[in-house]
Amino acid sequence: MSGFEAHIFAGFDQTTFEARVNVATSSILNLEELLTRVDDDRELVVELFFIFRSGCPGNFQRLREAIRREDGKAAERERHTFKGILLNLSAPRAATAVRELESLARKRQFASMKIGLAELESEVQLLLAQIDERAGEFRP
Amino acid sequence: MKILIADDDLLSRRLLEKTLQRAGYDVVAVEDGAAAVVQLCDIDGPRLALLDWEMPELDGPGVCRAVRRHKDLSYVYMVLLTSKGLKADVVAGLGAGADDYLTKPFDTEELKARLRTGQRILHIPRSQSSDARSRRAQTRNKLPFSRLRKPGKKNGHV
Repeated sequence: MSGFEAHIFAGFDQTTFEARVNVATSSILNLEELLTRVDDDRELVVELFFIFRSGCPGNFQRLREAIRREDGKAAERERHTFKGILLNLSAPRAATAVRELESLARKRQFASMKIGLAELESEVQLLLAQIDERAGEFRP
Repeated sequence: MKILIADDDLLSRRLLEKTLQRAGYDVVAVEDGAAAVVQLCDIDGPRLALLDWEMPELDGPGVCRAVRRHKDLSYVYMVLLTSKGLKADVVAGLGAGADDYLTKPFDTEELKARLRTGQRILHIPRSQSSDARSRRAQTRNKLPFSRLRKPGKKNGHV
């Protein structure tokens, strides 16, 4: 590798790069997949949206607190729970942002995790906006 | 059939509850591992269980280990449902005593098919295996004396 290439690729992380590409190319909310999972039960979809919206601040608060305390175990538990919620909700972009956070946690990069958390928060804001938009279609 | 769902997350619990009720199960839902053990160790408790990995009090593998320690219980078929998808996690989960492993987000048809497998296995000890035991005993009684020789003995001398 030439000196120029070495300069360009310094600090390049393949996993982070792939995670960012995945975030950029996947959808915010895969409603079709979610409807298939719930057997087209639209009432249940609205209920799940409501549960997500109500639980979100608490999820973030616990995750933020665990990262601030640099409590690896608590952060892992919160990330795992949050990832499960996002996967069940068919929210691939936000779920990928959690995976990126997981990869940083494995390397115990707590400073980078704060940036990762901010990215996750912005993904979740986009998701909430889309949920509000789509939930209206399901209400009788 | 009664089924236990143990998941600390309300959204996942509600999603599973509705999916399984629609599939005809009688659902008992709890939000931590300790409550799951209490239910599964009850003599009239569910014999089929879907357990999340990360839970307060006791995690999914911990529930499996606790239930397997009760040798006097009738068999409990336990499925771990988690977003942990690494091979090492699968090995650890099955090693703790789980019968099956599914990753989130679950596919409804796959989940139902795996639970049907669990039901088939749960019915083996009560019906098929006891039938098989009695069939074997009947066959043994009908066999001619000469065929009951022990393996390795020559000339039919018992």
